[in-house]
Amino acid sequence: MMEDFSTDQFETFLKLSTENFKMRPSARVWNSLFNKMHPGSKWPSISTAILFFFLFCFLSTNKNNHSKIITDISHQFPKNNDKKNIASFTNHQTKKNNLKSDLVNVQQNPHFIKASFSEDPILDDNIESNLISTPEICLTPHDIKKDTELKAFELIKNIGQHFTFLIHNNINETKEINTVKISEKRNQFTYQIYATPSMDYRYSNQKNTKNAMDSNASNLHLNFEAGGAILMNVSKYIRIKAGMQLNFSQIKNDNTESNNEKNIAASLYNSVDLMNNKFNNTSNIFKNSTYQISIPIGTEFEIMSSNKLKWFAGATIQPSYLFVNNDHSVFTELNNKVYQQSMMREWNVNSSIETFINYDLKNNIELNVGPQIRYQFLSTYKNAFQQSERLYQFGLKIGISKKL
Amino acid sequence: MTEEEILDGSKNNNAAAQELLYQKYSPKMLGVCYRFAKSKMDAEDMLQEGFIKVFTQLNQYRNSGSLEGWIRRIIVNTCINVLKKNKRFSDCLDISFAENLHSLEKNIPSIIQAKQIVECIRLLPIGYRTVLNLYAIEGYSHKEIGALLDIQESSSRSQYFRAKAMLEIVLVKNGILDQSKKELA
Repeated sequence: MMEDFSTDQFETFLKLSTENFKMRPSARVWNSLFNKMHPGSKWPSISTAILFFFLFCFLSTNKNNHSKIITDISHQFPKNNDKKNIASFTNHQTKKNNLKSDLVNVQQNPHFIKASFSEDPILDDNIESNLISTPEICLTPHDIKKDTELKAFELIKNIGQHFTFLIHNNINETKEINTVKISEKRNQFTYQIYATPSMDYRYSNQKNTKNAMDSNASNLHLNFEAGGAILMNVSKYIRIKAGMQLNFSQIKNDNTESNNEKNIAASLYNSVDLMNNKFNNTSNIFKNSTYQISIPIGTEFEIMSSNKLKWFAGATIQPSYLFVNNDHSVFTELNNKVYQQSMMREWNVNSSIETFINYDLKNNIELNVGPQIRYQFLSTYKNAFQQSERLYQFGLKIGISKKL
Repeated sequence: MTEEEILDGSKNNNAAAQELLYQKYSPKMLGVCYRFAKSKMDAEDMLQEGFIKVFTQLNQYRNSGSLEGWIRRIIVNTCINVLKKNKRFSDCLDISFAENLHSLEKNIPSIIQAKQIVECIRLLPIGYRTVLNLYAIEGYSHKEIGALLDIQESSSRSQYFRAKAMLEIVLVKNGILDQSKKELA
């Protein structure tokens, strides 16, 4: 190799010998580099979840503007369930410029008159008011003459909780009335316990290659999740929650080993003694299980509600800790790997999205049932290991919640 | 994408262009890092840190020399900075390794596969290896090496002399360098 070597050429020899020396970096390098150069692209699913959360907040805030300023004094009058729609007005602009809004619905009966607006009214700058919108107003029955229909009403004054409206009826009479804002009382906290049987989907690939042949999706396996959470209403439609849950997952591996696999397995991980027992058989089925404790923190949004039923959607982020692992699988390729507890990542981050139906049983107790998808952000295995695995769990969440 | 498009895209923080640039130069640059590093993982960390500097400083590249040379310079400087952060490396530079020559000779493993030269270089103590890499392969002068490693120019010379002697022993032991050629030299 070094036929022409001489001392004077030593540097040249070294330079030429090493000039074209190349090594292929592992995928980890580019992934880390990419994440550092483009932090916005890191964990796109987290970004999606955050976007999802803020979208919920935005929608909730919009709806909440209405709920907050409901002017409801109906409790001062005898209850009447026969709320009959007696008049509907569309595209009716109030004549005065104090309050401009479309009056779309009026309920009037012997006990109260209730009017709804289609959208947030626009107040004049010179009006003294903290009332942003007035979607629904209830008035006393003597505020309007019998046998007349409410045509329109205008907010002309608002100081604190007191509102003054000018009402118009269909015979062109107007009357000034005073009313007060009554805020709704809601239970702020709810306690929930739940259990979720689920099936998992594990996607594995080798870190140092992008070759599709080096990736693998495993069969579905049964998992189980159980936990409890405290939910706090932050508005009529949105609530935040925090809790604790236990996740059990198992994977069943059916492996057939060869000597070659044994060697690779042993070199991959220095656990030959552990492996020897398992390699004695030509085919083994290993049942591996892990227990993980998580702290789900998230939000739930009420999409729709009726008398007894409510439809929710929610998302959580779950910092998780793997505290028991009985995973002693023997593999050599993607389906055949060498795993042991020390190779498993103890701290991980999961997220879940779910939608469920709340059924009001009684005594403030509700039954919650709905599908849930849980996703594991980081690989099951530590960075040092060439194998990367992502875990998806598809489950049916069943829970009981009670308002405190 | 042409080389020019890759360069322009990378300067504009285009991820696709940056990946192409990385794929083109990273194997060779990892080879450079590997000669300085203790392990492949350390070399990859150096490579990563180096390429972050490459991408962030790419606007300073004025097409005056080869892009590969410019990247290589940044990578080498990154390797040196990483090594300098390591206390053991500083200690190595202050210690004379002449007495280690014989013990090293006894323990040299046979390297019979590719990348043998590089692996032979990597058998040297880290201080020697760094000076040898910089002088013999990267083309730095002893004055530059002294400034880079915070040592005297004369120390760089003596370290290089010892490194060279040690490397010759390693190369002979592994059959890369013919004994008779060495004796003649």
